[in-house]
Order: sequence, then structure tokens, then C-alpha cells
Amino acid sequence: MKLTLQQIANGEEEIVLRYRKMTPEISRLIARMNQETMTLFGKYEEEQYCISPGEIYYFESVDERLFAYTKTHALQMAMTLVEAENLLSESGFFRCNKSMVLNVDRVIAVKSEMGNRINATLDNGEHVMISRHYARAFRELLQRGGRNDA
Amino acid sequence: MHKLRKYIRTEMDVEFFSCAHSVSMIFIYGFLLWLESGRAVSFAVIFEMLILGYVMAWTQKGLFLREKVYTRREYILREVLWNVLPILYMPLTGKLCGWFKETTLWVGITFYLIMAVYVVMVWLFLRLFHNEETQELNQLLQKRRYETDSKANKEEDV
Repeated sequence: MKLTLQQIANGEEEIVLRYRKMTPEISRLIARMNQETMTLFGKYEEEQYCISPGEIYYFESVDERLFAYTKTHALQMAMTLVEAENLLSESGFFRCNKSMVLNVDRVIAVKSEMGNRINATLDNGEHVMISRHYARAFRELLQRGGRNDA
Repeated sequence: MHKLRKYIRTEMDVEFFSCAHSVSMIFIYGFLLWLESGRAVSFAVIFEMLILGYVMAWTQKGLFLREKVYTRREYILREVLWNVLPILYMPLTGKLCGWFKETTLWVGITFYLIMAVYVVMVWLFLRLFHNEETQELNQLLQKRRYETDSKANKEEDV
């Protein structure tokens, strides 16, 4: 595939993808670009923050409000847990218990525990419990391998 | 509906362990009774052991029922209780229901010893299973990370 880069002085920036036939490789590229360009908005102390899904460790629903936890902030999101789960299921997010959606890319180690639970260690040192009910979905996500192809 | 499904799943788990506990108790008790005097186990004792097995299984399940991350200390304490409580329930129930009133002392002692070993063995097997699963899950996690990274690198190269 030939890559042509063109610098422009003014006008709108755009990416044009020319293809003869839609191949899995091109589909993956499109999915990847969609993920990279997806931005979410969250509120922290009356300020709006713009974040990419990759920055989020997990979403947690507390008192019917949804928070997205990043390395530095707990941002209040204007969506529900189910909406977050559906929106980001292709980006490695999955429901890990009744009140949380976890970013699997932030998980560095897991430990199977009594009661069929899985204790997940995140790269910030936090521990999150994957309940028995969602443990099967987690296993399936891992068995599918890399990122889901859109 | 979600709560009902969750309850049914938990109940199924409990029933499974309840069956294992009850059948083990009935079998060991019956075997020792047969060795001692050739007598059969009465229905009342079978019923009491079934109930005790169910209580033991619920106690064990209840210790790990909450959806939270236990600290290392909490987890170890729960594991100890998982073993100790059922081992304590057996002589207490046996005394209360008079399981060994008409038998010689060694029958009772042997029964409680075998059952204590049984509970610890079940715990050891479960621990082994969880260790295996931990290894398998971590391998899958590493594989996923590797695949994700190589895909990202390939796309960057393109």
C-alpha cells in the first residue's frame, strides 16, 4: 500500500483512503482510526475534559452517576454504564461487575480466586474484581486475542 | 430478573457442594457403622447430614459472596473460615443429633478426622484449580497484549 502525505497551508485537514476492494486490512485501519479519533467528554470540578478511551482505566456507576477513572481524574460522564459498555465494547472495554466497565488494555495481571471471581490488577496498581457472572465474557475476550476487528 | 438469575446461579453452586459434602458424610458414616456393627444408617441421620451439607455449602459460599476486592488479610481469613467453620459444624451437629450415641468412641473420632481431611482436601483442589486458571488467564492476557502491540506496529509501518 502506497502512503502519500501532503502538507497544506490552509483548508480542512482530511484523510482520504482509496481502495479497490474492502479488505480486512483496510477495515482494521478504519476501525483503528475511528478508535484513535474517538473522544469522550467528562466533567471534573465544573470543567469539561476531553479524553480518548485509551486513557480510561474503568467506568464506575455510583449513585446513578457514571465516572470515568483516568490516571489523574475521576471524570463525571454524561452517559449510562450500559451506553459506555456498548460504545466501547470494540475498544477492549467490557463489563466486569454490576457497576463497572473495565478497559482490558489497562489490565496487567489477573488472579483467579475462590467464589469464581477474578482479581484484576491494573497498571496503576489498583485492583478490580471481575465477578463470576462476567468472568466468562472476560475469558472470551481474552481468547479472541487482539482488539476486535470492526 | 437479574437478581433472580444471580440467585439461581449461586444456589446451583451451593447445591453442587452441598451434594458433595452430604454424600461424603453419609458414605463415611455408613461405612464406619458397617465396620463397627454392620448396622445401616437411619433415615433421620441421612436427613440431618443432608441439611448439614447444605448449611456447610452456604457458609462457604457466603464467605466469598460480596462483589468487592478483598484485601490479602481478609482473603486469608475467609479461606481459614472456609475450612474451620464446616469442620466445627460437624461435631456440633453430631453432638446435637446424637449420631454417635450408640457407637464406640473410635467411630466418632475417625468420622470427624476423615471429614476434616476431606474439607481441607477440597480446599486444596480448589486452590490448585484457581492457580491453574490464573496461569492460563495471564497467558491469554499476555498473548492479547502481544497481538494488540504487533497490530499497532504494523499499522504504523503502513
